[in-house]
Amino acid sequence: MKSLTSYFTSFSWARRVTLRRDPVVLIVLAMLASLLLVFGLNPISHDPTPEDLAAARMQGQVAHEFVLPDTEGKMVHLSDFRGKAVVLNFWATWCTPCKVEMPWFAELQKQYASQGVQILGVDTRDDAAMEDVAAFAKDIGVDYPILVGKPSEQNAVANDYGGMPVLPETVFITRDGKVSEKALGLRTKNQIEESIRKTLYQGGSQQQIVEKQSAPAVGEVLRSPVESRPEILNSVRSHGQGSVRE
Amino acid sequence: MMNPTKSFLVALLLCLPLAGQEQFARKGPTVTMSPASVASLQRGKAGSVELHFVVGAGFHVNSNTPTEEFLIPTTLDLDAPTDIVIGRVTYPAGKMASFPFSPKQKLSVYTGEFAVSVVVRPLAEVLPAEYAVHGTLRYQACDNAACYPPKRLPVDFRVRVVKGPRPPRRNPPQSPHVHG
Repeated sequence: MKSLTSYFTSFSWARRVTLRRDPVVLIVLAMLASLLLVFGLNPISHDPTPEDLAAARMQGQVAHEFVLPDTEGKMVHLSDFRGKAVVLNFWATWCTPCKVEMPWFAELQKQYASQGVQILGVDTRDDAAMEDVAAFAKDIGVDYPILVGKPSEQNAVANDYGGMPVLPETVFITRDGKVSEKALGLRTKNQIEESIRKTLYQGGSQQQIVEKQSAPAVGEVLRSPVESRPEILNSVRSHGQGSVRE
Repeated sequence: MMNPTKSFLVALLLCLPLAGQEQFARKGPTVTMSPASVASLQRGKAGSVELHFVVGAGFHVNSNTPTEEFLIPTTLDLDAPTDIVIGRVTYPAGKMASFPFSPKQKLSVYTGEFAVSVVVRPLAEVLPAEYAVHGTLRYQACDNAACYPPKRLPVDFRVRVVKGPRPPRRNPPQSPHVHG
Protein backbone atom coordinates (compact mmCIF):
# COMPACT_ATOMS: atom_id res chain seq x y z
CA MET A 1 0.00 0.00 0.00
CA LYS A 2 2.77 2.36 1.04
CA SER A 3 4.88 1.67 -2.02
CA LEU A 4 1.90 2.14 -4.31
CA THR A 5 1.05 5.46 -2.70
CA SER A 6 4.61 6.74 -3.07
CA TYR A 7 4.64 5.53 -6.66
CA PHE A 8 1.41 7.37 -7.34
CA THR A 9 2.43 10.64 -5.72
CA SER A 10 5.85 10.61 -7.32
CA PHE A 11 4.34 11.67 -10.63
CA SER A 12 4.65 15.38 -11.13
CA TRP A 13 1.20 15.65 -12.69
CA ALA A 14 -0.28 14.07 -9.63
CA ARG A 15 1.47 16.62 -7.43
CA ARG A 16 0.19 19.48 -9.57
CA VAL A 17 -3.34 18.17 -9.47
CA THR A 18 -3.20 17.67 -5.72
CA LEU A 19 -1.81 21.17 -5.23
CA ARG A 20 -4.56 22.66 -7.30
CA ARG A 21 -7.04 21.04 -4.86
CA ASP A 22 -9.73 20.81 -7.44
CA PRO A 23 -12.75 19.29 -5.66
CA VAL A 24 -13.72 17.24 -8.69
CA VAL A 25 -10.26 15.73 -8.88
CA LEU A 26 -10.34 15.05 -5.20
CA ILE A 27 -13.69 13.32 -5.54
CA VAL A 28 -12.33 11.17 -8.34
CA LEU A 29 -9.25 10.35 -6.29
CA ALA A 30 -11.42 9.41 -3.34
CA MET A 31 -13.49 7.08 -5.49
CA LEU A 32 -10.34 5.58 -6.96
CA ALA A 33 -8.90 5.03 -3.51
CA SER A 34 -12.08 3.29 -2.40
CA LEU A 35 -12.09 1.08 -5.46
CA LEU A 36 -8.46 0.15 -4.86
CA LEU A 37 -9.29 -0.68 -1.28
CA VAL A 38 -12.20 -2.83 -2.32
CA PHE A 39 -10.75 -4.63 -5.31
CA GLY A 40 -7.03 -4.50 -5.11
CA LEU A 41 -5.23 -3.62 -1.97
CA ASN A 42 -7.28 -4.86 0.91
CA PRO A 43 -6.35 -8.50 1.42
CA ILE A 44 -9.61 -9.23 3.21
CA SER A 45 -11.86 -7.45 0.73
CA HIS A 46 -13.87 -10.64 0.15
CA ASP A 47 -13.92 -11.60 3.79
CA PRO A 48 -15.86 -11.89 5.89
CA THR A 49 -18.77 -13.20 3.90
CA PRO A 50 -22.22 -13.25 5.51
CA GLU A 51 -21.63 -16.92 6.19
CA ASP A 52 -18.38 -16.15 7.96
CA LEU A 53 -20.08 -13.51 10.06
CA ALA A 54 -22.89 -15.90 10.95
CA ALA A 55 -20.31 -18.53 11.89
CA ALA A 56 -18.46 -16.04 14.08
CA ARG A 57 -21.72 -15.13 15.82
CA MET A 58 -22.22 -18.76 16.83
CA GLN A 59 -19.05 -18.76 18.91
CA GLY A 60 -19.82 -19.04 22.59
CA GLN A 61 -23.45 -19.98 22.04
CA VAL A 62 -24.90 -23.12 23.54
CA ALA A 63 -24.92 -25.87 20.93
CA HIS A 64 -28.45 -26.88 19.91
CA GLU A 65 -29.58 -30.24 21.16
CA PHE A 66 -30.72 -32.66 18.45
CA VAL A 67 -31.50 -36.27 17.89
CA LEU A 68 -30.76 -38.10 14.65
CA PRO A 69 -30.45 -41.77 13.75
CA ASP A 70 -27.05 -43.14 12.87
CA THR A 71 -26.50 -45.45 9.91
CA GLU A 72 -27.37 -48.45 12.10
CA GLY A 73 -30.69 -46.92 13.13
CA LYS A 74 -29.61 -46.03 16.67
CA MET A 75 -30.92 -42.69 17.86
CA VAL A 76 -28.09 -40.35 18.79
CA HIS A 77 -28.60 -37.26 20.93
CA LEU A 78 -25.98 -34.54 21.10
CA SER A 79 -26.41 -34.64 24.89
CA ASP A 80 -25.18 -38.25 24.86
CA PHE A 81 -21.70 -36.74 24.56
CA ARG A 82 -21.96 -34.20 27.36
CA GLY A 83 -18.54 -33.79 28.95
CA LYS A 84 -16.78 -34.51 25.68
CA ALA A 85 -15.48 -32.12 23.07
CA VAL A 86 -17.74 -32.78 20.09
CA VAL A 87 -16.88 -32.13 16.47
CA LEU A 88 -19.94 -31.98 14.22
CA ASN A 89 -18.87 -32.37 10.63
CA PHE A 90 -21.68 -31.56 8.21
CA TRP A 91 -21.15 -33.20 4.85
CA ALA A 92 -22.93 -34.78 1.87
CA THR A 93 -22.12 -37.54 -0.59
CA TRP A 94 -22.08 -34.99 -3.44
CA CYS A 95 -19.44 -32.87 -1.75
CA THR A 96 -15.94 -33.73 -2.96
CA PRO A 97 -14.08 -31.52 -0.46
CA CYS A 98 -16.01 -33.32 2.32
CA LYS A 99 -14.65 -36.59 1.03
CA VAL A 100 -11.13 -35.23 1.32
CA GLU A 101 -11.35 -34.32 4.99
CA MET A 102 -13.43 -37.23 6.32
CA PRO A 103 -10.49 -39.66 6.47
CA TRP A 104 -8.64 -36.99 8.48
CA PHE A 105 -11.52 -36.87 10.94
CA ALA A 106 -11.33 -40.66 11.23
CA GLU A 107 -7.61 -40.42 12.07
CA LEU A 108 -8.18 -37.56 14.52
CA GLN A 109 -10.98 -39.50 16.20
CA LYS A 110 -8.58 -42.34 16.94
CA GLN A 111 -5.86 -39.93 18.04
CA TYR A 112 -8.03 -37.87 20.40
CA ALA A 113 -10.65 -40.35 21.61
CA SER A 114 -8.79 -40.95 24.83
CA GLN A 115 -8.80 -37.22 25.54
CA GLY A 116 -12.55 -36.97 25.27
CA VAL A 117 -13.10 -35.98 21.67
CA GLN A 118 -16.08 -37.32 19.76
CA ILE A 119 -16.48 -36.72 16.06
CA LEU A 120 -19.95 -36.99 14.54
CA GLY A 121 -20.58 -36.82 10.82
CA VAL A 122 -23.94 -35.30 9.92
CA ASP A 123 -25.16 -36.12 6.44
CA THR A 124 -26.87 -32.97 5.23
CA ARG A 125 -28.83 -31.75 2.19
CA ASP A 126 -28.41 -35.19 0.73
CA ASP A 127 -30.88 -37.31 -1.23
CA ALA A 128 -28.75 -40.45 -1.04
CA ALA A 129 -30.31 -43.50 0.60
CA MET A 130 -29.13 -44.40 4.09
CA GLU A 131 -27.44 -47.58 2.84
CA ASP A 132 -25.55 -45.56 0.24
CA VAL A 133 -24.47 -43.04 2.83
CA ALA A 134 -23.22 -45.84 5.08
CA ALA A 135 -21.36 -47.51 2.19
CA PHE A 136 -19.86 -44.20 1.10
CA ALA A 137 -18.53 -43.48 4.60
CA LYS A 138 -17.19 -47.00 5.00
CA ASP A 139 -15.41 -46.83 1.63
CA ILE A 140 -13.41 -43.81 2.68
CA GLY A 141 -12.49 -45.30 6.04
CA VAL A 142 -14.88 -43.47 8.34
CA ASP A 143 -15.67 -45.35 11.53
CA TYR A 144 -17.05 -42.57 13.72
CA PRO A 145 -20.85 -42.26 13.90
CA ILE A 146 -22.52 -40.92 10.77
CA LEU A 147 -25.88 -39.38 11.50
CA VAL A 148 -28.54 -39.51 8.86
CA GLY A 149 -32.22 -38.74 8.86
CA LYS A 150 -35.14 -37.74 6.76
CA PRO A 151 -34.56 -34.56 4.74
CA SER A 152 -36.78 -32.61 7.16
CA GLU A 153 -34.75 -33.84 10.14
CA GLN A 154 -31.46 -33.11 8.37
CA ASN A 155 -32.63 -29.63 7.45
CA ALA A 156 -33.85 -28.88 10.97
CA VAL A 157 -30.43 -29.68 12.43
CA ALA A 158 -28.66 -27.84 9.61
CA ASN A 159 -30.82 -24.77 10.23
CA ASP A 160 -30.06 -24.84 13.94
CA TYR A 161 -26.40 -24.67 13.07
CA GLY A 162 -26.61 -21.86 10.56
CA GLY A 163 -28.34 -23.37 7.54
CA MET A 164 -25.26 -24.94 5.96
CA PRO A 165 -24.99 -22.65 2.94
CA VAL A 166 -21.79 -24.47 2.02
CA LEU A 167 -20.33 -27.86 2.75
CA PRO A 168 -18.27 -29.04 4.47
CA GLU A 169 -18.99 -27.14 7.63
CA THR A 170 -17.60 -28.17 10.97
CA VAL A 171 -18.81 -27.08 14.38
CA PHE A 172 -16.51 -27.54 17.34
CA ILE A 173 -18.33 -27.86 20.67
CA THR A 174 -16.59 -27.61 24.02
CA ARG A 175 -17.04 -30.04 26.88
CA ASP A 176 -19.56 -27.69 28.45
CA GLY A 177 -21.69 -27.66 25.32
CA LYS A 178 -20.77 -24.32 23.78
CA VAL A 179 -19.74 -23.66 20.21
CA SER A 180 -16.07 -22.81 20.19
CA GLU A 181 -15.74 -22.46 16.44
CA LYS A 182 -17.60 -23.01 13.21
CA ALA A 183 -15.42 -23.59 10.17
CA LEU A 184 -16.72 -23.22 6.63
CA GLY A 185 -15.22 -25.12 3.76
CA LEU A 186 -12.32 -27.48 3.53
CA ARG A 187 -9.35 -26.88 5.78
CA THR A 188 -6.08 -28.69 6.19
CA LYS A 189 -5.71 -31.54 8.63
CA ASN A 190 -3.40 -29.42 10.77
CA GLN A 191 -5.98 -26.64 10.95
CA ILE A 192 -8.67 -29.12 11.99
CA GLU A 193 -6.39 -30.60 14.61
CA GLU A 194 -5.60 -27.16 15.95
CA SER A 195 -9.32 -26.43 16.29
CA ILE A 196 -9.82 -29.70 18.15
CA ARG A 197 -7.04 -28.79 20.55
CA LYS A 198 -8.44 -25.30 21.08
CA THR A 199 -11.87 -26.82 21.75
CA LEU A 200 -10.36 -29.18 24.31
CA TYR A 201 -8.78 -26.24 26.12
CA GLN A 202 -11.96 -24.19 26.16
CA GLY A 203 -15.00 -24.67 28.35
CA GLY A 204 -15.93 -27.31 30.83
CA SER A 205 -15.28 -26.99 34.52
CA GLN A 206 -13.11 -29.57 36.22
CA GLN A 207 -16.17 -30.85 38.06
CA GLN A 208 -18.09 -31.42 34.84
CA ILE A 209 -15.21 -33.29 33.33
CA VAL A 210 -14.55 -35.41 36.41
CA GLU A 211 -18.25 -36.23 36.60
CA LYS A 212 -18.00 -37.90 33.24
CA GLN A 213 -16.21 -41.11 34.03
CA SER A 214 -15.15 -41.76 30.48
CA ALA A 215 -13.50 -38.37 30.12
CA PRO A 216 -9.95 -37.83 31.36
CA ALA A 217 -9.18 -35.43 34.23
CA VAL A 218 -8.67 -31.83 33.22
CA GLY A 219 -4.97 -31.84 34.05
CA GLU A 220 -4.46 -34.76 31.72
CA VAL A 221 -6.31 -33.00 28.96
CA LEU A 222 -4.35 -29.82 29.31
CA ARG A 223 -0.91 -31.25 29.71
CA SER A 224 -0.39 -34.37 27.73
CA PRO A 225 -0.91 -33.24 24.13
CA VAL A 226 1.11 -30.10 24.60
CA GLU A 227 4.00 -31.75 26.34
CA SER A 228 4.34 -34.16 23.49
CA ARG A 229 4.05 -31.43 20.84
CA PRO A 230 5.00 -27.98 22.19
CA GLU A 231 4.77 -26.40 18.74
CA ILE A 232 1.01 -26.90 18.86
CA LEU A 233 0.78 -24.89 22.06
CA ASN A 234 2.72 -22.08 20.47
CA SER A 235 0.48 -22.20 17.46
CA VAL A 236 -2.66 -22.11 19.59
CA ARG A 237 -1.31 -19.18 21.62
CA SER A 238 -0.39 -17.20 18.55
CA HIS A 239 -3.71 -17.77 16.78
CA GLY A 240 -6.21 -17.07 19.55
CA GLN A 241 -9.92 -17.66 18.98
CA GLY A 242 -10.95 -15.04 16.50
CA SER A 243 -10.45 -16.53 13.09
CA VAL A 244 -13.17 -18.66 11.61
CA ARG A 245 -11.54 -19.48 8.31
CA GLU A 246 -7.81 -19.79 8.38
CA MET B 1 -18.03 26.31 -3.28
CA MET B 2 -17.30 23.45 -0.92
CA ASN B 3 -13.93 23.23 0.75
CA PRO B 4 -11.84 20.70 -1.24
CA THR B 5 -10.92 18.75 1.86
CA LYS B 6 -14.58 18.50 2.72
CA SER B 7 -15.35 17.40 -0.83
CA PHE B 8 -12.80 14.67 -0.50
CA LEU B 9 -14.25 13.45 2.75
CA VAL B 10 -17.79 13.58 1.44
CA ALA B 11 -16.77 11.60 -1.63
CA LEU B 12 -14.96 9.07 0.51
CA LEU B 13 -18.01 8.70 2.67
CA LEU B 14 -20.19 8.25 -0.41
CA CYS B 15 -17.91 5.50 -1.64
CA LEU B 16 -17.85 3.56 1.58
CA PRO B 17 -21.31 2.03 1.13
CA LEU B 18 -20.14 0.76 -2.26
CA ALA B 19 -17.26 -0.99 -0.58
CA GLY B 20 -19.61 -2.45 2.00
CA GLN B 21 -22.00 -3.60 -0.68
CA GLU B 22 -19.28 -5.52 -2.47
CA GLN B 23 -18.07 -7.01 0.74
CA PHE B 24 -21.42 -8.38 1.80
CA ALA B 25 -23.17 -8.98 -1.51
CA ARG B 26 -21.28 -12.14 -2.43
CA LYS B 27 -23.74 -14.98 -2.22
CA GLY B 28 -22.34 -18.26 -3.35
CA PRO B 29 -22.21 -19.48 -6.89
CA THR B 30 -24.07 -17.89 -9.75
CA VAL B 31 -25.15 -19.70 -12.87
CA THR B 32 -27.08 -17.53 -15.27
CA MET B 33 -28.76 -18.14 -18.58
CA SER B 34 -27.79 -15.87 -21.45
CA PRO B 35 -30.81 -14.39 -23.23
CA ALA B 36 -31.87 -16.77 -25.97
CA SER B 37 -33.11 -15.50 -29.32
CA VAL B 38 -36.47 -16.73 -30.56
CA ALA B 39 -35.90 -19.91 -32.53
CA SER B 40 -37.90 -20.29 -35.71
CA LEU B 41 -39.18 -23.80 -36.30
CA GLN B 42 -41.27 -25.30 -39.04
CA ARG B 43 -44.26 -27.16 -37.82
CA GLY B 44 -43.92 -30.85 -38.18
CA LYS B 45 -40.14 -30.60 -38.33
CA ALA B 46 -37.58 -30.95 -35.57
CA GLY B 47 -35.15 -28.10 -34.98
CA SER B 48 -32.39 -27.44 -32.55
CA VAL B 49 -32.30 -24.68 -29.94
CA GLU B 50 -29.07 -23.75 -28.17
CA LEU B 51 -29.24 -22.47 -24.63
CA HIS B 52 -26.20 -20.74 -23.20
CA PHE B 53 -25.31 -20.66 -19.53
CA VAL B 54 -22.57 -18.89 -17.64
CA VAL B 55 -20.95 -20.18 -14.46
CA GLY B 56 -19.68 -17.37 -12.24
CA ALA B 57 -15.94 -16.83 -11.97
CA GLY B 58 -14.26 -18.98 -9.33
CA PHE B 59 -16.95 -21.65 -9.42
CA HIS B 60 -17.51 -24.86 -11.34
CA VAL B 61 -20.52 -27.12 -11.73
CA ASN B 62 -20.49 -30.83 -12.43
CA SER B 63 -20.94 -31.71 -16.06
CA ASN B 64 -23.85 -33.88 -17.18
CA THR B 65 -21.59 -36.90 -16.81
CA PRO B 66 -19.64 -36.49 -13.58
CA THR B 67 -16.77 -38.85 -12.93
CA GLU B 68 -18.00 -40.04 -9.55
CA GLU B 69 -21.14 -41.89 -8.58
CA PHE B 70 -22.53 -39.49 -6.00
CA LEU B 71 -21.78 -36.24 -7.78
CA ILE B 72 -24.88 -34.44 -8.99
CA PRO B 73 -24.97 -33.95 -12.76
CA THR B 74 -26.11 -30.77 -14.43
CA THR B 75 -29.47 -31.53 -16.01
CA LEU B 76 -32.04 -29.58 -17.95
CA ASP B 77 -35.73 -30.34 -17.53
CA LEU B 78 -38.16 -28.65 -19.88
CA ASP B 79 -41.89 -28.36 -19.84
CA ALA B 80 -43.22 -27.55 -23.29
CA PRO B 81 -46.73 -26.48 -24.30
CA THR B 82 -49.07 -29.05 -25.80
CA ASP B 83 -48.21 -29.94 -29.40
CA ILE B 84 -44.58 -28.97 -28.97
CA VAL B 85 -42.38 -31.96 -28.31
CA ILE B 86 -39.07 -31.69 -26.53
CA GLY B 87 -36.61 -34.19 -27.91
CA ARG B 88 -33.05 -35.04 -27.11
CA VAL B 89 -31.09 -32.71 -24.85
CA THR B 90 -27.38 -32.67 -25.70
CA TYR B 91 -24.93 -31.53 -23.09
CA PRO B 92 -21.38 -30.51 -23.83
CA ALA B 93 -18.55 -32.74 -22.69
CA GLY B 94 -17.20 -31.67 -19.34
CA LYS B 95 -13.75 -30.20 -18.94
CA MET B 96 -11.55 -32.57 -16.96
CA ALA B 97 -10.02 -30.51 -14.19
CA SER B 98 -8.45 -30.99 -10.80
CA PHE B 99 -8.96 -28.62 -7.93
CA PRO B 100 -6.93 -27.60 -4.88
CA PHE B 101 -9.15 -29.70 -2.61
CA SER B 102 -8.17 -32.85 -4.47
CA PRO B 103 -5.25 -32.20 -6.83
CA LYS B 104 -4.84 -35.82 -7.91
CA GLN B 105 -8.47 -36.31 -8.84
CA LYS B 106 -9.90 -35.11 -12.14
CA LEU B 107 -13.50 -34.02 -12.20
CA SER B 108 -15.70 -33.46 -15.22
CA VAL B 109 -16.99 -29.92 -14.88
CA TYR B 110 -18.35 -26.88 -16.65
CA THR B 111 -16.75 -23.51 -16.02
CA GLY B 112 -17.35 -20.19 -17.69
CA GLU B 113 -19.81 -20.51 -20.56
CA PHE B 114 -21.42 -23.73 -21.73
CA ALA B 115 -24.23 -24.47 -24.16
CA VAL B 116 -26.93 -27.10 -24.03
CA SER B 117 -28.67 -28.08 -27.24
CA VAL B 118 -32.33 -29.07 -27.25
CA VAL B 119 -34.27 -30.67 -30.08
CA VAL B 120 -37.74 -29.17 -30.36
CA ARG B 121 -40.42 -30.46 -32.73
CA PRO B 122 -43.73 -28.69 -33.16
CA LEU B 123 -46.41 -31.12 -34.27
CA ALA B 124 -47.79 -30.68 -37.78
CA GLU B 125 -51.16 -29.46 -36.54
CA VAL B 126 -49.89 -26.75 -34.18
CA LEU B 127 -51.01 -23.22 -35.02
CA PRO B 128 -48.22 -20.94 -36.25
CA ALA B 129 -47.36 -18.59 -33.36
CA GLU B 130 -44.78 -17.95 -30.68
CA TYR B 131 -44.65 -20.39 -27.82
CA ALA B 132 -42.84 -20.19 -24.49
CA VAL B 133 -40.93 -23.15 -23.16
CA HIS B 134 -40.12 -23.21 -19.47
CA GLY B 135 -37.91 -25.44 -17.42
CA THR B 136 -35.10 -25.63 -14.92
CA LEU B 137 -31.39 -26.27 -15.00
CA ARG B 138 -30.38 -28.28 -11.97
CA TYR B 139 -26.76 -27.85 -10.99
CA GLN B 140 -24.48 -28.29 -8.05
CA ALA B 141 -21.57 -25.89 -7.79
CA CYS B 142 -18.32 -25.82 -5.86
CA ASP B 143 -15.44 -23.44 -5.51
CA ASN B 144 -11.90 -24.37 -4.57
CA ALA B 145 -12.70 -25.23 -0.96
CA ALA B 146 -16.41 -25.84 -0.57
CA CYS B 147 -19.52 -27.06 -2.32
CA TYR B 148 -22.95 -25.51 -2.41
CA PRO B 149 -26.24 -27.39 -2.19
CA PRO B 150 -27.90 -28.21 -5.53
CA LYS B 151 -29.84 -25.36 -7.06
CA ARG B 152 -32.42 -24.94 -9.79
CA LEU B 153 -32.13 -22.12 -12.30
CA PRO B 154 -35.34 -21.18 -14.13
CA VAL B 155 -34.94 -21.58 -17.88
CA ASP B 156 -37.19 -19.84 -20.40
CA PHE B 157 -37.00 -19.55 -24.12
CA ARG B 158 -39.41 -18.97 -26.99
CA VAL B 159 -39.92 -20.71 -30.27
CA ARG B 160 -41.74 -19.31 -33.29
CA VAL B 161 -43.63 -21.97 -35.16
CA VAL B 162 -44.05 -21.21 -38.84
CA LYS B 163 -45.83 -22.96 -41.66
CA GLY B 164 -43.65 -25.18 -43.75
CA PRO B 165 -43.25 -24.63 -47.49
CA ARG B 166 -46.21 -25.85 -49.50
CA PRO B 167 -45.79 -29.44 -50.61
CA PRO B 168 -45.48 -29.84 -54.39
CA ARG B 169 -48.87 -30.27 -56.01
CA ARG B 170 -49.57 -33.61 -57.41
CA ASN B 171 -52.48 -34.67 -59.59
CA PRO B 172 -54.42 -37.40 -57.90
CA PRO B 173 -54.15 -40.70 -59.72
CA GLN B 174 -56.96 -41.14 -62.14
CA SER B 175 -59.25 -44.05 -61.79
CA PRO B 176 -59.30 -46.23 -64.86
CA HIS B 177 -63.07 -46.40 -64.47
CA VAL B 178 -63.54 -42.67 -64.93
CA HIS B 179 -63.00 -42.80 -68.62
CA GLY B 180 -63.93 -46.37 -68.94
